Amino acid sequence: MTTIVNLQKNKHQKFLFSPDRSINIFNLIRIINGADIVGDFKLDITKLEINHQNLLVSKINAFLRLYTRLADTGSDSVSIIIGKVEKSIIEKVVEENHGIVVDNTLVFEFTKASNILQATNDPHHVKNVRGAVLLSLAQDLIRITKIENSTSFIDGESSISLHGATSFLQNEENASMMWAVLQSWSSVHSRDYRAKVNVRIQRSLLNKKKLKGAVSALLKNSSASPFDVKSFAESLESKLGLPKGMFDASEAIQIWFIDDQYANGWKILLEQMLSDFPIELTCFNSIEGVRASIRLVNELKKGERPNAALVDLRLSSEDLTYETYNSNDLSGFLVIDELLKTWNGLPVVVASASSKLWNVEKAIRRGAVAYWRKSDEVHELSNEEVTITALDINDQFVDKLTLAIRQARYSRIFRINQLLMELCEKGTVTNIELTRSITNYCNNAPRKISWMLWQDLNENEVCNSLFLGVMEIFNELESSLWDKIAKKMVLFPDARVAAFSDIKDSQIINKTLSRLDKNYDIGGRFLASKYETLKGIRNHLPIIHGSRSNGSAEDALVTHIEGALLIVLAVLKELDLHFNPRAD
Amino acid sequence: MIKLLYIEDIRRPERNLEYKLIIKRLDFEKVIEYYDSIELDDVAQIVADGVICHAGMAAYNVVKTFAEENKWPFLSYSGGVDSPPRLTENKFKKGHFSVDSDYFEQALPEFVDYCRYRKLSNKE
Repeated sequence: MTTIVNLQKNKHQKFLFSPDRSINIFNLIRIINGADIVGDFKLDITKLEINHQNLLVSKINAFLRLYTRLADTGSDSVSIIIGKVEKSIIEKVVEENHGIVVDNTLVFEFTKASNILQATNDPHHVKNVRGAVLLSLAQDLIRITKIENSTSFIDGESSISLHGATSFLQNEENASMMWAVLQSWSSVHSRDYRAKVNVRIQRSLLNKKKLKGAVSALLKNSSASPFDVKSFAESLESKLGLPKGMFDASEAIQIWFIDDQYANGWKILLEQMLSDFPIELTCFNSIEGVRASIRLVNELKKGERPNAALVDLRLSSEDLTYETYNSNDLSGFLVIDELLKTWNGLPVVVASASSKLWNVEKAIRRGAVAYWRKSDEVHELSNEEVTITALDINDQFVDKLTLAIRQARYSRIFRINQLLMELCEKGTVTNIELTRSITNYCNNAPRKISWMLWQDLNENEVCNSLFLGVMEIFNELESSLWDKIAKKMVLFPDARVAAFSDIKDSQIINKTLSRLDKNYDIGGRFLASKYETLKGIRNHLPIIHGSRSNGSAEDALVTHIEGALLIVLAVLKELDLHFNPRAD
Repeated sequence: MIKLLYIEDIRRPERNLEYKLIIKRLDFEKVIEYYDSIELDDVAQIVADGVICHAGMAAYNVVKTFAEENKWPFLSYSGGVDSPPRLTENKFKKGHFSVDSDYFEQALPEFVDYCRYRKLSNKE
């Protein structure tokens, strides 16, 4: 007797089709497997939506290949009862897989399925994909938050949908691995092991919460800060040549994802992993694409600059030889160089399956903030260990992305630093000590921030250290603003002031800023008053003020650092105009 | 007469050839021209009644950005598991279509018809 498996819209649709409307062939086999089939069988898909029927029939080749590998029930053929499936789709799959059409039924023999060569022979691809399949399992485990005794794994009722790996599970090797993992859950896993996995799931949920905190902090409107740097910057925007909207709050975090396999499932998987966060992914598969988009953002001002980047190291088939046999550069390193050359301080996380130490070292030396190994040698592990490894790979990702997002909070500092560096390189600053001070600060800031974030120092310590660094620039700035020979202010030689050495508490910066306020005509004591506020913060930093115990210590905020850098920029711009007056 | 552009992937000449053969087989060479530059300035200058490219081509994001900005009818094809087997319009971007690369041949005539109809409607 032939068994008929009826696919129902209400019962099976969510398990078979992911929200992005791709079909999960692996799950189709799980449903059929649950029907206890012996011999040939019929699959009735007429109750599914037409679009889903079209999709299922179009992917019949993947089903035919995987079914015999995973759930060999002794069937020679399968009959598929269809509704109004597109004629062109039927013709194509029937021709390619040597099927036949009888009325509304398509009949295929498993042995005659088209054996289109897959990328599975490439060991890099298989290793890569294995990590992806595991990550998808981890997502499902985290989503259900707890494995109960009654949680089903292998069958068609399971809440483990593995939709994040829909594409990867068409790879026979990895589908087999996951099949074994799911089967073993149903049969051999003990209560103790379940408890162990549940503890790990809770840890993953905690990590996710930390990422959420980092995302919220990055998206927080900077005008909500006690030191309103947004209005400050907007008033100076045109005078300082600041990019328009630089301090505007964003609704979503932009991440550039550079991976030659992004279209083969990684994009879908990452989108699923990040689906609870306001994060938008823009994908690239080559350095050419990255370069073109950099120009698009920088020169044509189209699209948004990224807040962070995830970069795979191997972006071309030629890289395989390099990775296996020597330590030559993989093409992903060039992408890192290109990104950091353009956007100093951009947090770059390497996302690679490579376990070569030289790649890890080089990535960090090139300026990456973290190295995420997106796969593991799970073929050497038991099925029990595989589940823990899946959660490990996921936690590593969340951890490293959190680090990158935390670093992205300082991105405006890096942008102002870039403007300062341009002025230094232009020769605006003739004072060598000042140039050195600015250059050191700008060059060291990304590394300093990465290092402090690696150390898991709290935000206050990072900010205090960076803020103090900017305030030290002011010490050098003073001598550039005072003409010792003429005993006059450099920018305002007509101003009547006491000699530099006589000015109490080195008021030369304050005096210069007050004059600038008049010139800028932006109302009142603007720059000068902001500078006074910042000096007050500096004087109350715990490292300057001493103990926090008496309650008068104050920590610096990111906005204080940004504000202080904007003042330095304003003064340098004026020095530039003074020494290199424009023709107009 | 409409003019569509097929933008080649500079990294994958052998793959371009596959789709160029389909274009030839369908007798669309009179309406579809081949374009092999992904230079920003060149893409910015494109004037066409529709643009076709692989979703995994180098500089895909650049082409997509200009397609949105210039309101080009846009067909991207790919072998991704989420690619539909029929010409499918993006829910949020009118005139932007995608199709599974295995079904490029079946979808192309429909896309050309769409571009033709759109040009006629715009004239009227």
